[in-house]
Amino acid sequence: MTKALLFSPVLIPYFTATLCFVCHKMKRTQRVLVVSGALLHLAAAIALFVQVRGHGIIAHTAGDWSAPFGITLVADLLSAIMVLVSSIIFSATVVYALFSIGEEEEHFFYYPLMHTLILGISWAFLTGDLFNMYVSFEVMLISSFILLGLRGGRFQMEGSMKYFLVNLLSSIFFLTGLGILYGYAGTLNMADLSVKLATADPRVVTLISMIFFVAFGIKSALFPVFSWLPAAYHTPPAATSAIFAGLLTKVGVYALIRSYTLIFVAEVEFTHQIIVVIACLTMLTGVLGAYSQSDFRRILSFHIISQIGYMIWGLGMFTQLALAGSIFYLFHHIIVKSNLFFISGIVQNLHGSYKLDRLGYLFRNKLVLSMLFFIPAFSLAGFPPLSGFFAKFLLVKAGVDSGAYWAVIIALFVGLMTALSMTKIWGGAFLKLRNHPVEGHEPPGGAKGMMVSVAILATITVLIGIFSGPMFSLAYDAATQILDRSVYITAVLGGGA
Amino acid sequence: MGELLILRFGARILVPLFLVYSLYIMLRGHNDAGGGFSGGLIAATALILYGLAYDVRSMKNLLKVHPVRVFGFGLLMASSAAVMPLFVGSTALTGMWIDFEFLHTHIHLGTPMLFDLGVFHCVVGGVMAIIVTLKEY
Repeated sequence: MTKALLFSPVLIPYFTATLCFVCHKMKRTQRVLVVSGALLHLAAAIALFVQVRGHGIIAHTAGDWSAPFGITLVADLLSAIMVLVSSIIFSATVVYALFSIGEEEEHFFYYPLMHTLILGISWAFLTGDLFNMYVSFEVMLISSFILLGLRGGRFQMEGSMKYFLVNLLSSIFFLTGLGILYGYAGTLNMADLSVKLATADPRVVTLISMIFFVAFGIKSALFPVFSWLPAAYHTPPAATSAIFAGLLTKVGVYALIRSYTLIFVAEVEFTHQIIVVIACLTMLTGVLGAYSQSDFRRILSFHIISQIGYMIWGLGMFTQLALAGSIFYLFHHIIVKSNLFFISGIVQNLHGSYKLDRLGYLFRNKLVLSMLFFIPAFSLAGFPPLSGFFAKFLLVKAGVDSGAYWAVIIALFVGLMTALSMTKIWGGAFLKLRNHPVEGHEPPGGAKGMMVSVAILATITVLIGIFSGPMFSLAYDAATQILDRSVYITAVLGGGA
Repeated sequence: MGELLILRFGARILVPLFLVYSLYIMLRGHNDAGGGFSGGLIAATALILYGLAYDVRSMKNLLKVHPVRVFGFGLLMASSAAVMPLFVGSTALTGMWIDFEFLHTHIHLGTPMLFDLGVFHCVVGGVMAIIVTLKEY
């Protein structure tokens, strides 16, 4: 039973995409398929989460091989949380896309590609094997590249070319690292690597880990290599950019957390210090970039970068509390960020533009939408009763405990700047009572349907804020689990290891 | 059209030959060099040869269904090989075999062959989709 449960988040989107390919001419059937596929994925993710929360880590190896030889899938608490959250976002995106995606995108395999994208994402979270993580990254990259360039005008092509080239570079680093690691350790199974590298020369392990740091760093848009993200995320339709903003970089963050807690822990005081410095630089550049922009989605794109900084900061401090903070931040951020992109899409639907100087009057004319924007926006900025406050609070508390006051000061400053640039959107698009409307823009309709996804995600944000206690204990348990490597290793390799 | 006479005559002989050979390559793939991918490429080559000798429309007609659909069916077949073991309590992709006697020959059939057949269809469908799309623009 647990076998089917573990494989289903990967297999369900696979089957849905396949069936979409088989009946790609039948529009109506396809829509029914994608929605039921997404809901099934959500159900499987919930079941998996409940199982892992109740009974601990599940690990199985494909083809009934024994562990280090076959392809292992592992669901520990962190993986289960990530699969669940991404599944929520995915379902919301599919519903949103039904109301906002044009006929043309639909004809060019928009829905099957969304499913292959979530297939790659779920696989990346569940795999227990570094090479399979590489393959799942490629599945994600191919799907996301086509989704980005779909219907590509010149503007959109420019963004997707940058995205593709930089991410290809990351793949090259990843593959190089894999080759070296395999040559050195003779295995790519993560649990097995953890055992083998524990007795290896720490200098070699650190060297190899830095190659992976570059690869995952590009994926998650860290400080010097983030430029592909704001170049690409404001070009595709809102549904696409919402799922990208929520999930793609977070897979990179997940990969960093996984590899730097399980595999590359030979010289923690050295490697994780680098992570802290990079995290602070990422926070700063991201938020400064956001403050200088005047396009709805470009501001949000730069915010992703600064928020990634927070998550990586928690990893860099490498204490139980800090990692719990990172995990809390991850699931809070994914929901909030996708929601903000959804809202930007609705605003564009109503007023025909993403530019803040063209927008205005929204608070007066669209009160519900404004309230729905207020929740994720000020949660992101870290206002007290909302989820973002608790996420930031955990990290800052961990920072004070670890004694790195300079990093705490940077984090607080960045939080302030985040709030400031959020007020920029709030003031520019919602409160302002003058605008330069786009001439002759007729709302194409569907905004009401799009609001459904926004309302659901906003509710989840509020709920995370209200039930921050249970959420925190969940994150804390996940952090405890990833810090205690032996549990993971025993689950994968069996009692003998 | 006269200059295509030799090509057309050659295609008429070669296309069936290629198709049979592609099946042979696919079937021997389990124990020898070959398999669904190379078999599929050979089958696709046969169809392309036919398309060159005649035209793309008749090549599409030869395939009867839309290439994307062939591709989809291939994925479905390959994935059913992955999923079937889950229903008998093994993990995904575990090989399942049946043995029987047919016309005094011992036949050993299993899910890996289903997987290979799926890959075969994927490759044929994928290559055909590319060729048809390129020809349309």
